[in-house]
Amino acid sequence: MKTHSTLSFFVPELFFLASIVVYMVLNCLNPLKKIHIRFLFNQRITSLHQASFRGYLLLLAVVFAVYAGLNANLSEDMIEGIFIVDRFAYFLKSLILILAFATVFHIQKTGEIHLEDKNTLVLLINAASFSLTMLSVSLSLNSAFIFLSIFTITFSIMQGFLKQKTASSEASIKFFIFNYFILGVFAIGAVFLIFASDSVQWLEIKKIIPAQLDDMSVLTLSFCFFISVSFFYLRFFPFHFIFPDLVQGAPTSLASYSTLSCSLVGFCFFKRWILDLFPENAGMIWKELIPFVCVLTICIGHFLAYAKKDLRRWLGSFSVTQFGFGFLVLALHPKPEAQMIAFFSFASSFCACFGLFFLFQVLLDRKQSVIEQHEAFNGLLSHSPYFAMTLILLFLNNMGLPPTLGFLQYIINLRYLIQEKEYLLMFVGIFHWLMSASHSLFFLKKIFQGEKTQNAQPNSFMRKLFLASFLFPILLSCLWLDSLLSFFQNAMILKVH
Amino acid sequence: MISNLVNFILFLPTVVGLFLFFLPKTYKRHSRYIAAVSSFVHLLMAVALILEFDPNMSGLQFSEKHLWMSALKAEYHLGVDGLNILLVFSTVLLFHLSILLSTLERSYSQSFYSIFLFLESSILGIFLAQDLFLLFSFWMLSAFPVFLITGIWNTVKDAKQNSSLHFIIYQLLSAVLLCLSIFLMYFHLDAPTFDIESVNTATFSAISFDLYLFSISLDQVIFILLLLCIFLRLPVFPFYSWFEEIQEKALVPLGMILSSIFTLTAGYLLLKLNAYLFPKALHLFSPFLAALGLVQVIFSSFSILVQTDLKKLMRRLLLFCYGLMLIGIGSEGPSALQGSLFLMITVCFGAALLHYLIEQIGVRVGSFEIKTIAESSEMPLSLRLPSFTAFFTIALFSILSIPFFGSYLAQQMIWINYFQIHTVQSVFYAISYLICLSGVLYFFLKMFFKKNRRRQSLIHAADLREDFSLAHKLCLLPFLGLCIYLGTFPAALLRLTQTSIQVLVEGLK
Repeated sequence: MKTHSTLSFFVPELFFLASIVVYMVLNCLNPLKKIHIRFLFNQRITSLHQASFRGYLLLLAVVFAVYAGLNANLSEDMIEGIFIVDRFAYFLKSLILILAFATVFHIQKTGEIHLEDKNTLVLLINAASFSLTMLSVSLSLNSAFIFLSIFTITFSIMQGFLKQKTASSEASIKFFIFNYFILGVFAIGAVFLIFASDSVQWLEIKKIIPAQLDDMSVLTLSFCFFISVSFFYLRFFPFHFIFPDLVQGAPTSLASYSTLSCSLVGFCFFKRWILDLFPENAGMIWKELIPFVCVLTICIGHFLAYAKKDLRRWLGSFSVTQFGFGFLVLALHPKPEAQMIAFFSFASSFCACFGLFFLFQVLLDRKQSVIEQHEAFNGLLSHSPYFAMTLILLFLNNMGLPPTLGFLQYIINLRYLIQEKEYLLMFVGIFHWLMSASHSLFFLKKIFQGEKTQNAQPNSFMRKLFLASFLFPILLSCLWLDSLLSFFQNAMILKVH
Repeated sequence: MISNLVNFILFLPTVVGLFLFFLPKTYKRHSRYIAAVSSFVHLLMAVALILEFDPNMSGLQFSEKHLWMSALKAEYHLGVDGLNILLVFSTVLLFHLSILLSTLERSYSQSFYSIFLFLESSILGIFLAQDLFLLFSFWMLSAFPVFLITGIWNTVKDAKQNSSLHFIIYQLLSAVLLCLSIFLMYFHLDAPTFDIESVNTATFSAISFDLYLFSISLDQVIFILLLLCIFLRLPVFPFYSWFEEIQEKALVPLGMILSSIFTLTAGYLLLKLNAYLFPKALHLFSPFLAALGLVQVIFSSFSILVQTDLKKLMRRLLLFCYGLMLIGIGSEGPSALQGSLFLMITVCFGAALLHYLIEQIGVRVGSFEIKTIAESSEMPLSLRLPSFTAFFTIALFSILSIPFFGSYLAQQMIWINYFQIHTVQSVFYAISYLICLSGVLYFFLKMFFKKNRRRQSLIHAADLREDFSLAHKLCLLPFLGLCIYLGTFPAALLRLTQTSIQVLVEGLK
């Protein structure tokens, strides 16, 4: 029995598509032209691009509310042609909407980007978000390839855009080449799958895949290629070195979008085309490959982060380790419980990195200078106490202070590893915990110490509320942990009717 | 009200702390009065808890049990028994007195009071929690208010903030060890649970690890992990450096708590987890614990002799007391165990009072150097500041186990048991005690009763602040009363702990 309207599920895609068209038209006009507009009860003269930004943000918020509200009662997974309607996609699309909102909001506010470039940037973000949302619901190799290509193209343009330093431009070119290389890897893996199954449809392919993969079959090869694609976007070892370079020269808002959206693509791809498609026991490849990659990702990520002086590069490396830690539970055997924990870990790491990235953006903007070093934190507590307290709580979340989301993440992961008697991986997990704590302590030290470099900035009630909104999921999740875990469990285990 | 008493006791400080945090700045000056009044109400609740507590009942009382996170099988389980009833009361009383005393000195910000009250909740949580996961959460949580307070407000400007970082690293390691041990416990029980009572009755799977020379069972591994976790919070030789650093720079109210109830959370854990859940392992490791305690006692008694700073002297004196507590637990006997618990309470009040008084000397003299204090006035300090000297004498005597003061009875209970089991070592202890006593009393006489040979004070008479005011005396009076009461006739208090100690000893047998 169909209990759910499919159209309401595709509201974000429709919105992003419409926004692309509107912004293309806007770009043809003169966006800086002054217009007389009554906007939100204020009669004022404003430019076209300001009006479009505000309209965009308002509409995006409405779309998010409508989408979240209409699909909250999604109780079963449905396949509609080449698309799937499930809770995993629902959650992922919600994250994309929030990410897009935060990025565009910051682009509107920031002085880092020239006014004329802002509209183009929003157009690219819309295109990337559209392809990301479509990728999360695609169940055909063709459509997945198309949307991954769109994402790659828009993403590469976005990265090349606004780069002023030569080193940063080189990083963009490097990323561009790698991106296309990975698209090629995906294409080869897809060809192997088509060769084995004679179909591009997920359901058809699923039917021919046996319960156990042979060591050197076509399916095994495609599995390896798909794993590479997923790890590239998740920035796991050996692809960890590309992204920190990439985010260095980019405006901070773009840095956060690129880091987090790539992780979303990687995780989505991992779920749809690896966990759901291939059998639970993917043979020796899984046991040999995944633990090795996870452990190396965590260890190398931490050592790289330790050496970073630039804030964005640090967060780029640090977020890699966070996502790597989430995959530790999947390392030996992707049981349903492990999948649920990995998804929960991914979501909590996303929350933590999103919060940190956004506050870094605000911090760098407030400084109104080119300070990208750790010194930006010096004496923050004395001149911006509310802002500093928000940052402190986010760092404490990274340290695993109870009852934060970070604490639950560490506990649930370690509990599972001890339960499965994976003591070696457990020690890697503890290493990650202690290293994350040491990173956080380093920043906390900076926040506490230092001279008062500037006068206190007044915080309006709205600004305080805005800062507090980062903390809601982090501080309150322990009250609804059971509901959260059951949601993640339902989202990860596909029950197609 | 009575049925929810433990909930009120646990969360009242947090609620008041949150209220103070969001209090508009226009009401900032009222924050200390709000904190003081709320802590008084809190104290009344703790008194009600003691009055309602039935000392003849062996199990948990005022039990509160609800499912917290079913995914982790963690429960919100609180309860009061003979082991924690006095510690809960001491915590509430100490926080109340430290807030009262702080209001007399200077105006702390509302954020300070809110974080300080949050610390009170987290310490109470450690004592009240009857679920291992809940206990672990509070254990970890209790370190961060200290970290924040020492990070934000310092008495000594420390540009590198190393003391708070040093402290938090120790506490984080301690939390990781506790986390590991409780999960190892959980997964190796025949019926996995975090409930302390259930863990006590359940049996561990018979896993043993073969090392080169000997094999070690799982419960012994968990016992060692727990012991390490405790040693990172209880200042134990050689892990006491964080305590020295943070005590040096902490604000007065926080210093009072750190030197007393905060470190004693570890002592409580030693009784509640190590002794109660792992009696066999405790029996095996008790000589080691007693030996460690003796080493600490000898080390601190000798190091007292070479101190030139009064604050450091006090910290070494506390190390001596913690060493004695380890000896008590290592001795295993009923009177030694009860003595250890009793020692925690007496040291708690004595150390807090002594810390406050030493800070007051610092305020009056401007230095903690023993020599400077001795020469600060032309006439002996005892004549210049008589009330202050009287309070100081009682606090010091209480810690030093002088007959009829503070920890005297506790020390006797431990020492007699220790003498019966380890006679030779107990002689070493007695010698160390005499060294410690003579050293501390020498410095005490030098500071307060000796005439200034220079006949010229280092501090101008006008600069030396007056003796304690009436308000000070009234606030300090409860400390004074407790120090004398605990050293003379503490039978009523001991009766509260009797039944739980019996249960503990039966387990050990």
